Amino acid sequence: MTRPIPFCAWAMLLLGSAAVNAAPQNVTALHDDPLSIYELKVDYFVQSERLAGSQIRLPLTVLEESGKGYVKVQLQDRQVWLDSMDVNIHPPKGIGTSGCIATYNDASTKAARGAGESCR
Amino acid sequence: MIRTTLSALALASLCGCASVAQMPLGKPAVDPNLSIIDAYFSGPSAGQTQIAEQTADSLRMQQRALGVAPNGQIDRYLNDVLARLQRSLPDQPAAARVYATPNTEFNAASYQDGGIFIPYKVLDALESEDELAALIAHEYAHVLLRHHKTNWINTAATLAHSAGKLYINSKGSTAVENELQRMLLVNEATLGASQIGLMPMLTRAQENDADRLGVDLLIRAGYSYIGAMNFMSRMENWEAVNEAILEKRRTNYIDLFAKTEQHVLAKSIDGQLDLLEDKFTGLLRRAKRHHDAGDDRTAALRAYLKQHYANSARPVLQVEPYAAVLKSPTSKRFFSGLDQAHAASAALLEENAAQALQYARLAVESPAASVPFTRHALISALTFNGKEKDAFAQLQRDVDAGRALFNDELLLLSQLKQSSPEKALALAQRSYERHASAVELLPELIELNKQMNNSLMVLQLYGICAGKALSSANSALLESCNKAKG
Repeated sequence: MTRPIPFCAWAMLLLGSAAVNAAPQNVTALHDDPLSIYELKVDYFVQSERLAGSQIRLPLTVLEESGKGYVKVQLQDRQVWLDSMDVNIHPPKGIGTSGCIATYNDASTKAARGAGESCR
Repeated sequence: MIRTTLSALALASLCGCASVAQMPLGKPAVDPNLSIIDAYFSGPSAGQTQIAEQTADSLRMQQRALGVAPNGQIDRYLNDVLARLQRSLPDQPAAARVYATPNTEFNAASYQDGGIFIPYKVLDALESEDELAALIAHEYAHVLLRHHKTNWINTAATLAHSAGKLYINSKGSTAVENELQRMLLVNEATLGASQIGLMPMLTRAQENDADRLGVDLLIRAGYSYIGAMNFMSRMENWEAVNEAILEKRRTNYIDLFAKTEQHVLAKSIDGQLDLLEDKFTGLLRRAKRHHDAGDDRTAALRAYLKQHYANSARPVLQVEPYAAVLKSPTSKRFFSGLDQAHAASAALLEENAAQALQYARLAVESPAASVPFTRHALISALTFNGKEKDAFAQLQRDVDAGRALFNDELLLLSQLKQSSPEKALALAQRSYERHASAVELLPELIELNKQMNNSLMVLQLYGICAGKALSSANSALLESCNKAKG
């Protein structure tokens, strides 16, 4: 049988997970080249131009996220909107306090509750 | 000769458990230019719904693990979303029902009878109704595409029985200070064990089809496919978290118990955990092989959306309706109660009785008081604090009301066997019927009927047991029944 993981390792894992969820989001990769750039017109987005990937320096910090799945970034000297379907955004969205470890008020324990296909 | 045959059958069973029964394709080849819904469910929306009152088979299996977490408001909301998805199908949709569970992982599961189970931690993490609809649509797609025609029930039953055997047949192990506490610890450990066996093993192709049909349903129901993409992003996060711990651990609770060979659990079950652990490791390895990496699935879904829905309207994500239910103060208190129940169980496994009782009492003062897992945590905590009488009075009430976990029914049965065999027999019979002739109870029924000199019943039950054991190549079951018959 393997040795149990020290408490500090669990604490670091939980803290790390929380940190991933709180970190600012960045566009780290493009799925389309050239990339479509959008403008916000009242409550809908229209494509305004297409930019070659070579003209875009990554990563780009996400300044705002719309409820329609577009993200605002600072591109060179202006703020533009990109379609989140066309780019990769990191870090990924959070999973709350999901885990294989029971937690309550930030107290971590070594005990597992339940087990699913991804719980190892 | 019989032993040799049974050994061979047992070996075949273990090997059989290592491979998923492949569904016959059965479906004609489809035009790859068609969406999944156009290929298999073409026609205008019929506007019909079919929310099952209860999905008995999958619910029974879930009760053999951590059970479900019923909450009127949350249950209504989950099934309203399912109904909205169903309305977009032509003809009457397949019956299904969504349940919240007290599990802590970021995943979900659906079963052949239409049961869809979502851990409360997932519900707590999501942020829009579109994400929830994406998850439910994916799981419902498995039901619609009939992906569950595998032997998962046999697999789950075999695993549950292995776990149950640890629990029921651990008499005669090395002496332990407190028999009842030993049984409670084994009970705690085997709950997690049983949960592993419940996860359906689906192929990559099936998961990809469910991703695609899921977004078809999502869009037809008027939701934003950004919800699906956001959910995929969370799944990638979950995979990353799991990868980080993969190298450092195997089964969590076994690591805990491995702290010292002198631990009461290690003494009690005498190496049987190694056998169970090997089975789990095998199951987890197979699960990993059957799923594409998260980013591959996201890329595939993105390509599918671009192919079929590039010009589709993209509604705003529905955040407020989701928050009104799942982020409400009542739901937060409900989730917090489940957290406290988990904390109680965790404290129990650390043998911190006082803390376990403290958390358990908080849990039963929360809206999660009536959740079977919460009751389980209280009963275990009371027992560990020397309040066995209170604990078993509570357990008896919960069993009578039909809201106890299956393992807790076994616990009550073990206690009644010592004090009142007639009551034990009545309980065993009721549990056997309530849990659709649960094979784990056959050895108990045989033993109790033998005690009551019901020879005919002993023979009849033994015959049933032998038949089930041989048909499912379950030598552990046959051995238990042989031992009970004497």
